[in-house]
Amino acid sequence: MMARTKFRKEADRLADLGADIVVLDEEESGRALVKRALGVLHLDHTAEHFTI
Amino acid sequence: MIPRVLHAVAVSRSRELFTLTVAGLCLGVAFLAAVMGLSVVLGAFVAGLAVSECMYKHRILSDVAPIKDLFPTIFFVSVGLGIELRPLIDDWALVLSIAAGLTVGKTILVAIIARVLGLGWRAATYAGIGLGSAGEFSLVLMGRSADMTAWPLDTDQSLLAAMALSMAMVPVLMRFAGPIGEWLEKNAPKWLRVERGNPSTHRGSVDLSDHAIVCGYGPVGRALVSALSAQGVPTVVIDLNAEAIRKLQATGQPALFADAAQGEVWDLCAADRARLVAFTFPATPAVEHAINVVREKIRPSP
Repeated sequence: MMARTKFRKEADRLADLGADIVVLDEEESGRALVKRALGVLHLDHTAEHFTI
Repeated sequence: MIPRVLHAVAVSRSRELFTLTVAGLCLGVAFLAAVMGLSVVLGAFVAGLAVSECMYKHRILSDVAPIKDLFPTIFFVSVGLGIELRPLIDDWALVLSIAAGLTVGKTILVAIIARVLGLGWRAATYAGIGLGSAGEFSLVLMGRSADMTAWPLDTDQSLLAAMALSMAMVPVLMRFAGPIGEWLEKNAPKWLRVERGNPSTHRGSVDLSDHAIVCGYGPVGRALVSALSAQGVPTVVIDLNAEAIRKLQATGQPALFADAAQGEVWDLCAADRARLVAFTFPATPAVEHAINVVREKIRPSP
């Protein structure tokens, strides 16, 4: 099962309810922002360079 | 005590309460000074000094910026209205002498202080000429002295006129500050050539270029600052979370407790020299406003 939600607490609740994959909007958009920022500055933006 | 009060209010993250507290503190200290038999102005001045030394100074500066241009105008117009032309015409030589002596003396004094603090000749000349006129506080002090009849009334008028004249001369003299500074850079005696320092670091302002400005220090802001710092990009953080800013400043990370919607904040962050401005919080109305402010700072309208 997959689900999508906005906040961490809701994501944890969905995971507890049995969702196998929960996509957290804040985390995904935050990761995208950091990745784009590093890209704009021509820096290494592979995932190991940041965690949210 | 004032920083503690401000911190307690800042933690509430209420903009209105913070502004009211700052205004209340300044007025309260001024009132206290009056009760103690001191000058109200002196009290307000001391309160302002105390506030300017705390970590919330950038936020306070942003809050008072819209009204700070209004009050000096009223003050100087009221001073100008107090000048009588007849004594000014009769004692023009005295007025000119006082104005010239005051301006030259104060310019040299300020320039020497600026040099001792490590500024170059050009900057020291700008500082000297810019601050070479009579200050606002001297007008207040003179008013108090006149009440005590420290000198005859006509002398009071001459002094007032000389002070006003010294202030009026500043914009004209500033045009010569650059050439004079450059001349001094080349021709000043060797024993006067002090090595340049970095004054901005002493004042707590941000002295950066090619940096990134990160607005918001939540999970995303923290991740961005960490990622950029790891790859050698200097960062400046803007946030309204007093605790987070205090911790960042303690580690040496440039961070301002300030509202991104205020123009002065972007001057302090050297936005015109930044490589990146990132709004890491998803509050669209606030970001819209801040983007407009940043655009004005980076590309001033003609």
